[in-house]
Amino acid sequence: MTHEPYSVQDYKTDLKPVWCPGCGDFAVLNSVYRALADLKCEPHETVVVSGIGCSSRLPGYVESYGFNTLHGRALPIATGTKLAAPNLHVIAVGGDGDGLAIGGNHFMHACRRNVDIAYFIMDNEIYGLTKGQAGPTTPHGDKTKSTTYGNPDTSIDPCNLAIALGASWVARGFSGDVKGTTELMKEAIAHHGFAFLNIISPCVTWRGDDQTKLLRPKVRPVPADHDRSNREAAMQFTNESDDRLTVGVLFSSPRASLLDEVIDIRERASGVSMPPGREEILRVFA
Amino acid sequence: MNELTFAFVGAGGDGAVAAGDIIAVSCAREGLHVIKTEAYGPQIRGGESSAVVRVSNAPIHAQADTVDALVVFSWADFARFQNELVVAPDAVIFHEVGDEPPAELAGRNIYPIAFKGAAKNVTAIAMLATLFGLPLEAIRSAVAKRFSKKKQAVIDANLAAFDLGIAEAEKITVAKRLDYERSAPHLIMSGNEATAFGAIHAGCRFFAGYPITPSTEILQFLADWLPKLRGTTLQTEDELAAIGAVIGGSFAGVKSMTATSGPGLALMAEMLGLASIAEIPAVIVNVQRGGPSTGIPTKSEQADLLHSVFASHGDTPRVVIACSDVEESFHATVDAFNISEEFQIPVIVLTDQSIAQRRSTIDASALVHEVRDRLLATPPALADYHRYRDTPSGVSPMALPSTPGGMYQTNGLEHDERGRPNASFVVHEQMNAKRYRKLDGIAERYPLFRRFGAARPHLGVICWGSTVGPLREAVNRLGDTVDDSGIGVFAPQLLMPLPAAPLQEFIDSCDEILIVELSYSAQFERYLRGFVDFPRTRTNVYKRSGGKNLTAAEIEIELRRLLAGNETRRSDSPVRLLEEVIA
Repeated sequence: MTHEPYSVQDYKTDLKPVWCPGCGDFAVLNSVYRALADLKCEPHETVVVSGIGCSSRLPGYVESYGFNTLHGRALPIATGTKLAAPNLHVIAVGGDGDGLAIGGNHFMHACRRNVDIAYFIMDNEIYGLTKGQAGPTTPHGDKTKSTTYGNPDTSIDPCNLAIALGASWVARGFSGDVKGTTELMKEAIAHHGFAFLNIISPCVTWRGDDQTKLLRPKVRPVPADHDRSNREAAMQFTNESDDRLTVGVLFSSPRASLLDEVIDIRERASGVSMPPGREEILRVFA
Repeated sequence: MNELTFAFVGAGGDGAVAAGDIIAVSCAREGLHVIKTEAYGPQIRGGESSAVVRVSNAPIHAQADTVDALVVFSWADFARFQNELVVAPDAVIFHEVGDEPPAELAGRNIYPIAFKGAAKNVTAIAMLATLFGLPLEAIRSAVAKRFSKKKQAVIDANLAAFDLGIAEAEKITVAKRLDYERSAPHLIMSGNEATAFGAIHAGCRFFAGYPITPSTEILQFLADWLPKLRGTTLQTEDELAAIGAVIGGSFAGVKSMTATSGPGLALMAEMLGLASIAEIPAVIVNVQRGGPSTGIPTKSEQADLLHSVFASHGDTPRVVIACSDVEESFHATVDAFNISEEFQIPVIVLTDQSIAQRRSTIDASALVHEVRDRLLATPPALADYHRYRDTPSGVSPMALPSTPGGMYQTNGLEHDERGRPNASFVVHEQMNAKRYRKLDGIAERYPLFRRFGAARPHLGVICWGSTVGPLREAVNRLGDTVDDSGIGVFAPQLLMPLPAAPLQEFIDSCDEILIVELSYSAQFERYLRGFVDFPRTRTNVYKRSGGKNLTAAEIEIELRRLLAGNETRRSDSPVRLLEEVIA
């Protein structure tokens, strides 16, 4: 599996996705294959971690090390893996409910910690696997199977949240644009620190099979003159009106990552000297 | 005297705990055996605090029943510890001049002392050392060392306070004095420190945790030391993330641990199941405190037992190891890593506040334990690699990320031998059997239980964890009155899987059984009944709520009652029984 050149085929497994025909997640999966191939990520040095939900089945379809964990818990597990084995490419994936409802607390802290992982949310504005209940990105007023009289809650824009929480790289993608999403994924994986990519990935079963068609005309790229290091400017492209879907890198401001901090702490703890032996530790108790 | 117990009580800032620490450390350096415990009110600062130090020529296993010398900086604070500090009838009591002692202590050996000032605790320890034969010079240098980084004026004030204590002592005569020969110094460490050191010894290089009383010292110790060992300590946003990061770190091949208390373990329950089904080693230390809910965070109880052995939904094999003192905290933690790594299974180390936050003397030579490692997938296994290959032992070689050819997807879904999601009954049955088979191997390879006392006991006592210490003391006290057919003790350290066969053999060899535990609902008794048969009419349980550790005195009364064939207790209320013991 270490031969070159890398192709999309190298990253496919023989498992057949459980997704519905037309699901946006197929396109996201294709972007994952292309991004890994373009970046020449060795499959055995790549770990894809997910939570629970339709989109969280993704690790099974990628030839790499993979971990389909618990609902909402992809990020802490990915964090542990990256800290334990910094050489690995660690990618966390999941849905909007997984990452922002049950896993919302971990999202907040992954952003502020700037842990070196790429996190892709497949945002379909619904709970698909449990068959159509409102999620944290479901628009206010929408009727779903759990909001018979309309969603009483306002929705959140995950990119707005990520920027506010201190993520050092934030982008929005659209599953209908495989090439564009691939480029965003490549930049996210290469980013030093926590990179958050929210991919609008329509659910054809519970949000309507015309979603992709309806969204496509609203999609527009981030303007060429956007200063991506400017937090306020980036915020303009969040909580957008219904007729706009801006895709691209909204915010990027690299800073020391959690791994940099960990290495710095080790150096300050012991300098360049040899690690302490048991006698040195036990001296504390003498 | 062969042993003495000292207690200090005051408000925060009076230095009661520091006084206890200085005596404990100095006596440990003299080669004496020491147990030091602390108790606090709920306030962060300024609340009441107390320290109890037991010093002995011979090994000791619990705190003494009563205090021989008491220093009270404030009677108002003393009143808050009334149920916990039992003062011996012949105890010598020192208190601040002008602070009137309670009426019930009238007629005792009470001395008002003009402690006054910031260094009142130093005056007190110098006085106690002079009167009771403690190592005066060792204590003086411990005081000097403790303040060595302060301004010269502070050092001078403390040394002056020390001399004042010696002068005050010369005005008083006491009946008891510690007689001892100086011997090789002991180390002194807490249970939490022994656990953390055990983790380092076992090769743990990743720790993730969330602060929670009474386990936080483990997080703090490893935050200090793991970076020096090129490891990582991560303070997470909650306990879910803590055990999640541990599972992630272990998945990547680094020995990983978290530590928590009951409320945190409750949050970790779902992840425990993930580690179990995904067969990822993980060590979880649960330092029990009073429960349920927030309960009594600063005090001990043995009521997380059922939660630890059964937590998580589904059929979830896991291992639970208990420790009964500071030294065992070290060994249990290393055993936990060994079992977890060898058998790819989550292991809970079950300790409690009374062990974790007590400081005891210990020798470095006792802190040695064989370290075992994980079965990794090497090239032969990597040909046609099946991560969850169904083997006779249930253990399958594990490929770590970065291993070419070892790629697999693991998950919390039921899966086949290659790790692929599978909802078939046949596969579920097969994989349950594979995972549970590991418990058989663990029980065989790790026969962890203690058995002491008579070989064929009349009375067989079964207990676990922090109950073992006071029980050992109680049995020792009966030493002259019990012959070879007297008392035998069985204390399992491995609680899941329980060493049921040797336990049943023990039960069958006894005429009468007593189960002792610190749980109102008798969790231990109820748990044991799932694995062994007890005699229908001759099985007794002595149990009560936590919040106060079991004392040797109350267990001694229970043992004497049963040995004498008394059918009824003096009192059915443990609170009243304790009052009788005190009286």
